[in-house]
Amino acid sequence: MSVIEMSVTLGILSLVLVILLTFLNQVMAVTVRSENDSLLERNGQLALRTVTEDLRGMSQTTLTQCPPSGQPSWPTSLDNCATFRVYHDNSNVTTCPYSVITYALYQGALMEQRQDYALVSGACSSTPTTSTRTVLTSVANSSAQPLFTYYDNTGASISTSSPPAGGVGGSVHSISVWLAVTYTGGSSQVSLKSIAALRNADTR
Amino acid sequence: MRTRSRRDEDGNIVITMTVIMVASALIVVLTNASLQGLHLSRRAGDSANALQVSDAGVNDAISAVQTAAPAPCTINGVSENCIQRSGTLGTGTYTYTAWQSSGGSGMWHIDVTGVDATGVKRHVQADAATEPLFERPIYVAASGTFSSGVLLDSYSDGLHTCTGNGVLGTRDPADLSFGTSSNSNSNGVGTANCTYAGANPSFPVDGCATYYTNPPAPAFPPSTGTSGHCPPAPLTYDKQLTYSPSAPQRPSTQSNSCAVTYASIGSTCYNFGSTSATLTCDVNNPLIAGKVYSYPAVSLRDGCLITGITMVTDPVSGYTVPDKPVFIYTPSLDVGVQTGGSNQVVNQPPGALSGHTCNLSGAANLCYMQGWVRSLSIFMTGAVGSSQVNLNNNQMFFWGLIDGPNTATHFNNSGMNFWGGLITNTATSGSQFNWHYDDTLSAMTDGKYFPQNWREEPVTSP
Repeated sequence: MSVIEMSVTLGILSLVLVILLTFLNQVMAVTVRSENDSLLERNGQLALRTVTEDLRGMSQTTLTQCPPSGQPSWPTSLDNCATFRVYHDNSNVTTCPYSVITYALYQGALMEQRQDYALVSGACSSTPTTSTRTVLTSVANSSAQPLFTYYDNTGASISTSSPPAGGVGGSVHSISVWLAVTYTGGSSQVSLKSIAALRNADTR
Repeated sequence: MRTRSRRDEDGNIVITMTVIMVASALIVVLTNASLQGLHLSRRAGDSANALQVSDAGVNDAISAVQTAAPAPCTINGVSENCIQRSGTLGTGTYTYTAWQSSGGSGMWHIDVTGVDATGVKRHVQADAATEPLFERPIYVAASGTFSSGVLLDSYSDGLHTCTGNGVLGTRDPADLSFGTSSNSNSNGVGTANCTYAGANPSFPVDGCATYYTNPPAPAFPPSTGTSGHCPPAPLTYDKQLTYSPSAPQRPSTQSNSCAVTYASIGSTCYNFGSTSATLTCDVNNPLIAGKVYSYPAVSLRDGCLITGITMVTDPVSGYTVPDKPVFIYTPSLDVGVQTGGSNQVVNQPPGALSGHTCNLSGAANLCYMQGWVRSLSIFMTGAVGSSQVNLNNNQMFFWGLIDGPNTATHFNNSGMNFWGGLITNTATSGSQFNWHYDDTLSAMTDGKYFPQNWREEPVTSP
């Protein structure tokens, strides 16, 4: 092989490699973007599952307004913050153990606070620490996009600003959860919604 | 010799293989990313399927606890009576264990694991709750007018006669009124009451309970907590039922397919009655164990007994219960006869007492025989206005259950003693009486179960 032939061959090979690498780079960029978006959606779905899992098992009469203890700056409206109990007892003698759970939209994130109670020496006592964590970031619900919407047994929405006698917890049978999550770069949003039917509400 | 053309292809295989390898790697990366995304997407759906399967297991368990026979098992190291079963829903399967709560509440605990066809699991626990038919000694649906000296207390057996469950049930506490005049039975305060003996202030009942369905709960009147009235919270409380109507439920023993003078248990109609006669039970005409009577009028008189009945141990609750109770259906019931005498005894516990005396200083233990009140269940038929119960004779003694949500109940004489439970529309007492509630009645339910305390737990939790 002559020098000329080798140069031409290397030149063509380099050109092909440049084209391929450019293509690969573009594909990877699209893939990474796609994966990030997909991850965002999956995280949103997992957050929805976490919230709805607890909502399904809540004792609806324990639904109260926020903020929970230690979080005075969390929103007070039931639209964007809800505190409730989930009972775990199998004794039928007491309503212990149970968990006091709060979900709230706070500073662009879905927050969770959980306090567990258990029987200790015959008394229902709280565990030493209250766990607070961020369930999901990049949450950008507007004022027209409440985190929680409450429905009664007829499917009619329940007003949180002027609730019926007995409060929202006295009538609620299902709760819609709405997460407006911002994509990477903040250019657009995806709306994730799920409705949890409260299993412990009257369904007969 | 032509060797130039072969040299022209030198290195081509390297280039080709390089291109193929790069392309293959690209395909593998993209395919892997796609498969991962697809897998995660499918897993979310599979998990939702597993939850639906678990939910189906809960419903199956609630159905099974009403019919299936439990078998011994061990739950968390404790021996229990369990129902264990597996089932399928579509391509998913569920496995559940249901075991009955101790304490005789009738509640079952349910633990279900649902598995989707792909192997994704969800774990749900719930309770199958039921409503005791006689949760309280007396439930008044409309109004209760009680004179001074009325006394409600409770017992679990002859050795435990002060259990604090003498709670008066009502739909609205404003419908209750208590007398305050002085009389021989503690001047309107329950000094004979187990819980508040000697207390000041003292109360005629261990508590008052308001049953309601839709909030807000009715408010208790200002007299609540003062002497001679309902005691203060938490002994007096509101209880929200999760279903309508607000009154405790009647058992579904009457079938619309039976004729008017018939009564039914399950799907079988019985006609032990008459369209015109009055069923009279006295010392010469006992009730027959295991029979169902349906009469337009019933009179239970002094010495009325049940023959052929035996007390046995209930295998589920562990309580002592009669093996063949008597059921009576009637719109008109008289217990005791006001002849000017006193101390008439109706359906006293077997082998108990000499003569017709049952007082707290004598063989009292036998008066409080566990479960005996279940031997005689009287279901009041008829509408409001036509259904009535008259309780007669001074110091009369009666053991039994009266279920009359449309009934007007009249306590016509003084010093009467009752063991059992009463559901009535109205109650009117002209003078004092004592009503003793058998705690084991809480295990006697209307046979209907509903889910309660439903929650998801981690798959790995017990």
